[in-house]
Amino acid sequence: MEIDKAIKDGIVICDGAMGTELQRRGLKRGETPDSWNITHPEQVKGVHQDYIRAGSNAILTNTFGASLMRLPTDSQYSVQELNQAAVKNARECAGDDVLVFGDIGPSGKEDQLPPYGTEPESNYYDSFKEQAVVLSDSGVDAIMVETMSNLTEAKIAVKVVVENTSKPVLCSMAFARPPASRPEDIRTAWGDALSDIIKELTELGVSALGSNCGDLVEEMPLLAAKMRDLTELPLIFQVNAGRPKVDDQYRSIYSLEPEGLAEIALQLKEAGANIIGGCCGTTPAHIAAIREKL
Amino acid sequence: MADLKSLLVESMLSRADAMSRTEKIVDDAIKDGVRADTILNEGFLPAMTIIGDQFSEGEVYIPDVLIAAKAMQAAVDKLKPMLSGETSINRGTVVIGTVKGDLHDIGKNLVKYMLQGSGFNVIDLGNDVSPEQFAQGVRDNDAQIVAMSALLTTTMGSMKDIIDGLEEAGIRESVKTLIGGAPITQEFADKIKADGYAKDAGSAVHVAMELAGHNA
Repeated sequence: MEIDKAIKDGIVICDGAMGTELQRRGLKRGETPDSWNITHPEQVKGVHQDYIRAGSNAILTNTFGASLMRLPTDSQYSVQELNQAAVKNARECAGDDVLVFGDIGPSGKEDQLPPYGTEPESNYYDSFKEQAVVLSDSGVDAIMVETMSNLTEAKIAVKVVVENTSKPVLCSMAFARPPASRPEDIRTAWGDALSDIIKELTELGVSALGSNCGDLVEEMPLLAAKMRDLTELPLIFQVNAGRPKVDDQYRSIYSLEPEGLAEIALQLKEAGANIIGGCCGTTPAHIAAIREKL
Repeated sequence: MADLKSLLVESMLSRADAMSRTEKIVDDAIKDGVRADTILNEGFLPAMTIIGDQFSEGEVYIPDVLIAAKAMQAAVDKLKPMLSGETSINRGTVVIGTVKGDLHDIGKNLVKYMLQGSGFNVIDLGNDVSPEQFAQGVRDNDAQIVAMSALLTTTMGSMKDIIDGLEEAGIRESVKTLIGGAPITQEFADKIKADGYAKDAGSAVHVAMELAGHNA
């Protein structure tokens, strides 16, 4: 299915968290979720299927960290192997009716980018390119650049997708809590302003933009309204299930119940969001609640 | 020296001009006969703490901290030869790293810069650091504080393994543990019995000072 058509048909409901769901299925501390695409494909597919069953009509590949710059140096699998396996897992669950977004996360080394650091931009470009091309060739419907807190890095990743694939690219930024003195001035932790983000990503040719993760939860609908004022592009929002708490296994449990997230999802829709899903700590129950509410 | 401190906060936060303006303030102070350790202890250290607090409040952003740290480092390099013997500013040694399985550098680096800027000797073990490497780092450097960062919900649990590792190595009692990162909370710190939790790089300075027994 094409993303434009899906949006025209109504709200697209994305999936929720992958990492915490894999932990419930036995992912150990220190193990990268991305490696499970190859070592535990049935478990990864189990998560995808749970989300689709809960009502997601778009799912993200389990490839948040599967780029050269992020992969542990002792990774047993290559970027190509991980991304190929991840798309295969997602596609098998999605069939033709559910959209598959190839997930690209930040490098984790944004502070090494010039002008503050000394790592050449070309290294970031090459790392994103390797991942984006494999995702695209393996059959995703679109590529989603997400959890970006640095506009310079987000632009590199978006540019990579536009220049090296024919897939639509969605870009989602993580925002910091605004200071008490300027409660309306929502920026990323790097200080990137909303207006710059929208202008510069639009110029590069994004098909949709929005926000996920970060510090904002209840404030996301306000952010959506502000973005809607600045652009006519489709808007995507994936919200954390509140703040994490800890269970007896020292794993994180998120505090926002499915009902609470569904309420935020409704406000997001009213503020003009087109694609809505969950981020850290969300579960199939959260997605089911969103589906019901919308 | 409240004046010098405020001047430095302003200059270090002036983005493109930060390096040159900060350098000029230092040069002027030296010319006026202000001692090098006074410039550091009553100028830069409190200035960096103020910038850290502003970062905690969301008033300034990551690039501000990176630039301020760079401007301060340049000044420290210049002042070092002028420091009189034992009046150096070592507030203790911190071994810092991002935990096993986690490849994020930034949060850890920001804390590193802030701690360095506040007078700590910081040993950076990098990212994807195992419990054994943390224990080894503490032994090799005779560190007083172990600072751990985790940015992922899937890796924060590793902090418990690291604290257990220090226990097994028989050095748990000789170091303080400080943890932080996006998914980390005070509740989590209490649960894994970490000695301190910092919600961001600014508060990390205050917590580290407290753990090292300094009045902050």
